[in-house]
Amino acid sequence: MALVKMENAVKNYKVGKVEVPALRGITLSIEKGDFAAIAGPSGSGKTTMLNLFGCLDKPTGGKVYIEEHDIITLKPDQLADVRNQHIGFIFQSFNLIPVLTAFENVEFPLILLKKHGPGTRRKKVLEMLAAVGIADLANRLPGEMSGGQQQRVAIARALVKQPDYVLADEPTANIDTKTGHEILELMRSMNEKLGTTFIFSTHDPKVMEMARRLITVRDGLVESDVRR
Amino acid sequence: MLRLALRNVFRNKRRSFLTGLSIAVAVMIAVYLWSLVSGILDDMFDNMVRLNNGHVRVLNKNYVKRERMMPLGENIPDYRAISQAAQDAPNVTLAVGRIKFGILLENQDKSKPVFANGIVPETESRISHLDQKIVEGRLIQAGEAEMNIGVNLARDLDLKVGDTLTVLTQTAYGSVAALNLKIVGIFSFGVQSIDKSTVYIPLDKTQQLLDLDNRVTEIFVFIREMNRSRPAAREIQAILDRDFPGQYLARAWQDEGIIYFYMTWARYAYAFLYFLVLFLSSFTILNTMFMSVLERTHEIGMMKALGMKDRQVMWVIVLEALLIGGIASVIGAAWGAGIAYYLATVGIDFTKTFDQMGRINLPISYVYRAIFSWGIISFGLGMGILFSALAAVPPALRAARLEPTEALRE
Repeated sequence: MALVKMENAVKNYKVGKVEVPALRGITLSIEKGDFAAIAGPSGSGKTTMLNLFGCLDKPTGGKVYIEEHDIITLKPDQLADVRNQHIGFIFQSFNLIPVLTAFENVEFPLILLKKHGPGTRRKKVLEMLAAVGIADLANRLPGEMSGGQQQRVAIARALVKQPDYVLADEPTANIDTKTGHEILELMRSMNEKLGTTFIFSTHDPKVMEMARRLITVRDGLVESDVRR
Repeated sequence: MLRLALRNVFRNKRRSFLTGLSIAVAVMIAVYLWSLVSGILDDMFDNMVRLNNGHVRVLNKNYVKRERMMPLGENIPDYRAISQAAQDAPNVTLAVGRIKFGILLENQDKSKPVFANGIVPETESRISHLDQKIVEGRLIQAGEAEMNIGVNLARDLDLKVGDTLTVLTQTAYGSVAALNLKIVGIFSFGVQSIDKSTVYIPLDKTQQLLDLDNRVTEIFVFIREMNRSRPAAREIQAILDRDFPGQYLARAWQDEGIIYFYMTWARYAYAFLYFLVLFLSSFTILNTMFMSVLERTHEIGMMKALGMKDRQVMWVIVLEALLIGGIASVIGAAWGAGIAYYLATVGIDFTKTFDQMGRINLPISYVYRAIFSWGIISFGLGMGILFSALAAVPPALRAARLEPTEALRE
């Protein structure tokens, strides 16, 4: 089943008075359970694709469907709801809220979700921190943790609400190779254990090797789409 | 959300502290200045009413035209009838006549023209509280050739209790009259214009001196509520017009001369000043929150990516401003209340200043006292919080309108 799909999606950005094409017509669907890497050189359109998958942006042309919703028709608040209820995000630079502890950062999307009481939230957060291997760091502030630890918090934050899919924009770019490998391993084990769909962008060949589906983009077009 | 806002407030402690300080100082100024100005104005109104006007003053219409000259000829021959009629009007508690005239006081080689008030000693305690203001000797008695003089006047003319003076004046018919009066008491109202140039003489003796038997130049009317003076004046005017068409005028204290008008405007002018102070200080909140939003653009973009809605983002920013502004306003109001309390109990003594300034014709006391009012304090507090919240709206809107993709790129 397609969780999210693009039909001839086009995205242009205005730089000054010039329209720069970022995506030139992409047709692609992500299936439940995918562990997909979007690879390609800088400026190939990886981040733009993730933004469209993430309901953070709307296409200039073509269609993007998330859970059968055409995102072009959704209002800002509805887009926020879709992001909150269906999508988990992992960012390149971790992007934790610096004034909140690891526990509170992971709890944050659950508070926005407004579905669980404090007791349930606490249980879910602690389980998820244990699953990513940092149960003992629950009360640390982001500034008191290493890059790898922060990215684990970010993964826990993305997964705690059990989203339909998780988008990760170059999740290993800001950490050393060994930690990066561990983070990827963690993501893959979550994919296998919880069945969470992952879509991540990368230009690191080692990361591409770990993906079970490799989508290569170049100049705003899909060059290849290989399942392994 | 509250926890997030609270942590953000403490993120940049120095900035939050300075912002809070400016709000606190503004609220403090608003509270104590307001208390002081209200205290001074209330004191002036009170002095004006008790010493110069009563709540409503009945006068001969011709007297009004030349009031500065104190024309004794334009008096109230129907004093008894009018004071009786006024007493019977609803809400009136007291209606009593008096005569205000000029005399020359002489002692050895010094002389001084002063205002003399012919008063009914028994009722004066309910009007000016003269009996309580006597600092030496006693209150004058009806039927006796006595007077009470102001403390500054006594000092200027070297007069003591027990001295007898010959006072010179003109009668209602223009002839010169003189009377020996014994000083039986010295009073101090703490009001420059009264203590320096006023004497009180029993009304009956005054009538005798001025050839004004059974007549007075003005009738002071007091009613139950000072603020209802204007309708009361209209009611009394109706009675006067019915019984003595075209002869007399009943005037509420608010309509006496220009002082009330100026004082009311002074109140508005000061109110404007408080708002200006609060308004200016609210710019520090505006600035702080803008800086804070700008610094956190990336973070706000991330929170919106996680599904935070525009109004939730706005609320966090406004909440932060409210926390700073709220805590600061409470502290500022407490400071202001402390100063107001001090000024209400101790006051500011302007005795020396007034002595140097010479005579000024405003019914201002020597000692300025603030009023300590919970109403003023809570109003200042409320305004501080309100201005803080309002000032946070523009930066909060900016934060709410950030596009997550653009904010994340920063």
